[in-house]
Amino acid sequence: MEQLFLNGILVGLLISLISLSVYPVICLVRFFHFAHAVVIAAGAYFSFLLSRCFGWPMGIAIPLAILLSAGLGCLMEVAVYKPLRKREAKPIVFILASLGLYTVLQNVISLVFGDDTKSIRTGPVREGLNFLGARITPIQIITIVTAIVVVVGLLLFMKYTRLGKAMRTVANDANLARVVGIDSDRVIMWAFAIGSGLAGLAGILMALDTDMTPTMGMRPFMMGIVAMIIGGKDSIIGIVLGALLLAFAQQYGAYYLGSEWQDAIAFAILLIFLLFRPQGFLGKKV
Amino acid sequence: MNKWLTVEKLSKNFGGVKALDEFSCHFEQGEVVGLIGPNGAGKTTFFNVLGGMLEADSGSAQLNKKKLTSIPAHRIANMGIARTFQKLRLIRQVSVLENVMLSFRNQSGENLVSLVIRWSKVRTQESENYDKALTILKRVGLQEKAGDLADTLSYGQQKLLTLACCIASDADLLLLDEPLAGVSPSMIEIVLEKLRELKNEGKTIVVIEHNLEAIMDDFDRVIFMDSGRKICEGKPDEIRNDPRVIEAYLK
Amino acid sequence: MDYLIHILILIGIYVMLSSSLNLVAGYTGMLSIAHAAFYGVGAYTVALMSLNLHTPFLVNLVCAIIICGIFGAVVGIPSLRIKDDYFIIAAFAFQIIAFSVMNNWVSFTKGPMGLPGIPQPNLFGWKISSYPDFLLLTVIMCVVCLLICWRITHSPYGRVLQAIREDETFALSLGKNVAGYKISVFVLGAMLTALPGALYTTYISYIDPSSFTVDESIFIISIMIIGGAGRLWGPVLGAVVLVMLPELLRFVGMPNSIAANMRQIFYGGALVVCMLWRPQGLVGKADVLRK
Repeated sequence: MEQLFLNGILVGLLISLISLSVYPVICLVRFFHFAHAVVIAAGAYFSFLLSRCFGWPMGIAIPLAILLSAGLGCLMEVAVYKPLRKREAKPIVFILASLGLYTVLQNVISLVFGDDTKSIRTGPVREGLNFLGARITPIQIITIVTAIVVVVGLLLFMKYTRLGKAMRTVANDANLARVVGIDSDRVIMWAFAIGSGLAGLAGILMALDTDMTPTMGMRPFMMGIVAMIIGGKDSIIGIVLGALLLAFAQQYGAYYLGSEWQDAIAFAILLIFLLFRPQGFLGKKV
Repeated sequence: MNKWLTVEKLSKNFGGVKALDEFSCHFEQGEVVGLIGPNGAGKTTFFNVLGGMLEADSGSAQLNKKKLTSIPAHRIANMGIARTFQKLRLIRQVSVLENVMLSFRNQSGENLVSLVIRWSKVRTQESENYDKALTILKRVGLQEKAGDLADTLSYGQQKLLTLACCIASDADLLLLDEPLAGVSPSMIEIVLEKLRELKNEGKTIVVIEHNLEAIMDDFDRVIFMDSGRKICEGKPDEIRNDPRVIEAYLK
Repeated sequence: MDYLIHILILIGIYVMLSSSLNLVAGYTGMLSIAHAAFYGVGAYTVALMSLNLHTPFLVNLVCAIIICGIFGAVVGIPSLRIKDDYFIIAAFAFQIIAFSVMNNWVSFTKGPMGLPGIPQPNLFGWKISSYPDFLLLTVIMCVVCLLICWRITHSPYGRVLQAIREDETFALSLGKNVAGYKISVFVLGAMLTALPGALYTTYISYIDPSSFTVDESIFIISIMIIGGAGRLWGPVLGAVVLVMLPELLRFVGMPNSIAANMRQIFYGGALVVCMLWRPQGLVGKADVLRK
């Protein structure tokens, strides 16, 4: 049971990390940025490329891979989304473009690296440490710590920095933002950079724990989106609580009902929230 | 007197701004009422709340003793209320004729089940509606445009088309949001003529309009509102000379 | 010859898939990423029933249609009642989760190993087994599917769907129950996927979850968009072009391993290019996707 609890925390924080990586983007651009799923995988593959193919130490490879992921996000914004925004395209056009981007990038990864599982772990899988009756690997400890740092960091960032405040203004009212002289294009670019960087980081953490495949980003991305809905779209704390709720329901559900149902449980939770509390449990009623 | 539509203490807030502040009024069947006031007075919000597009914070509205507030917009529309929008709304990528045909209420062909099991009834109703739609287009003078895309009409013609849609809906209450704005003087006459015809048929018409010179004499009664409240109401002549109205417009 | 017929049958399957999506996305304006999942639900229903219950094809098909409809309602009703755009997220989640259940519920679906040996259909004594038999069945199903789409789109109901795509508020003000229309057309679209699902299952006689992934959904969307959304013949044209394309790549001599990725890069890229420069696709209405 301790193991179940620990797994719940671990998975919940990982989902939070992914949810928070897409949060700045979705808040600002207001469409379903589907290609975000591939940025998660891209982060892992960048780190694979740098550490395995180039043989650079992890200390250099990982930060660089995060930067490259951020760059990938910005590239999508500049090359596709920004021109569409200038044309005032319908939301459905953004989503379609995003689906196209996802397909192209995912297949580029497949083409370059192959569809088989790749690993960036060095040495054999280490025996987990014993922690209050549960087993935990060093990587999992790092994941937990990183996720907590990101949550706190993002909270402070949105609250106290000028850029964070500008993001909130643009998210609330783009016209007001223009009136007070905020360059919304620049703010959106930053949101893509930060969000994609965090997605890359999440991808690297996942790869360190369980290796990588080109489609690794899709399922966690979906979980992140569901966490965002059940947490309420405009609150970081809500998102983290949503992610934890989702993770615990999945862990315990898998334990009692069988692991084939753990994703179906996530779907059931989403439907329950859509039916009874569409604004999420911390969201404001509209 | 028989109060056909009553509105009591309707309030609506937008993030602290009171768009409607305990707004009350009533309408009799068959009258043409002007709703005037400066920009931001809450006139369009009133239409939106009455039509169910927005939910009121408090207050109530009743049509023929049936509650209008807090029921879905499409059901309100089916109770016999039709409206036009300040920013013209039409289905631009289908033909003028189809816009009118879309506006008929209670079409059995719009129901998936009856579409399958009562195909012949749907067909006859559809051809009846086709003829009816052409008649309505003839009435507003758009019969030659019937096959064109709604998007290709001139602005004034589009306004006439929204009026045709209201006629097709066979509603008893028409809410018209600035039917004259942006319309050429010659077209204004046509629109006003159609309004008079509709009044003669016994429709109740509430009009939001800024072009008072053109339309004022067609009103039976005028309600002047500002900051979400009713300031005064009365015959057009009384309103013209009311100091509060003059002040509000000079301000 | 058999090869040509095989291609034609595949085209038929994708014509049905993208035409049914066209009702939902092209005419009503709701993009569903769950179409491959419904296709999979239909296919698995037919496969499991014929393997475990040995029921005749027509019974399986009817059950598949009903079950697809039920799942369509489960996804559509909670998410389409709400004004905010939760629909796309609910559909996406359903896609991922349907695949995950097909893949992990090993005791029932055999998971990634798939279900082999699905019996060939038998329609009123007509044993469908050869390539030409299946082609005829495909043509019949396609005609039925396109007739349904045609009848829907050329009816007052279809007129309301287009009105919803163009202007929901206006449709509401005309007294149309927008949420009701959205849910009903989405359920209908889901039900129609049972046709290609049943055909594919019995034609290939083997299914596994890898045929019903997100990528497959995006492929169906691409067919609809590249062909032209909101037009009856758009998806037909799109299916011909996009199904033939990888075969052409094979003729050029591209190895299979690369061709699969190249094909996806091509249609993904085409989707982006379409959005940037030609949102109406090959034959679509100019302004279905424009403001």
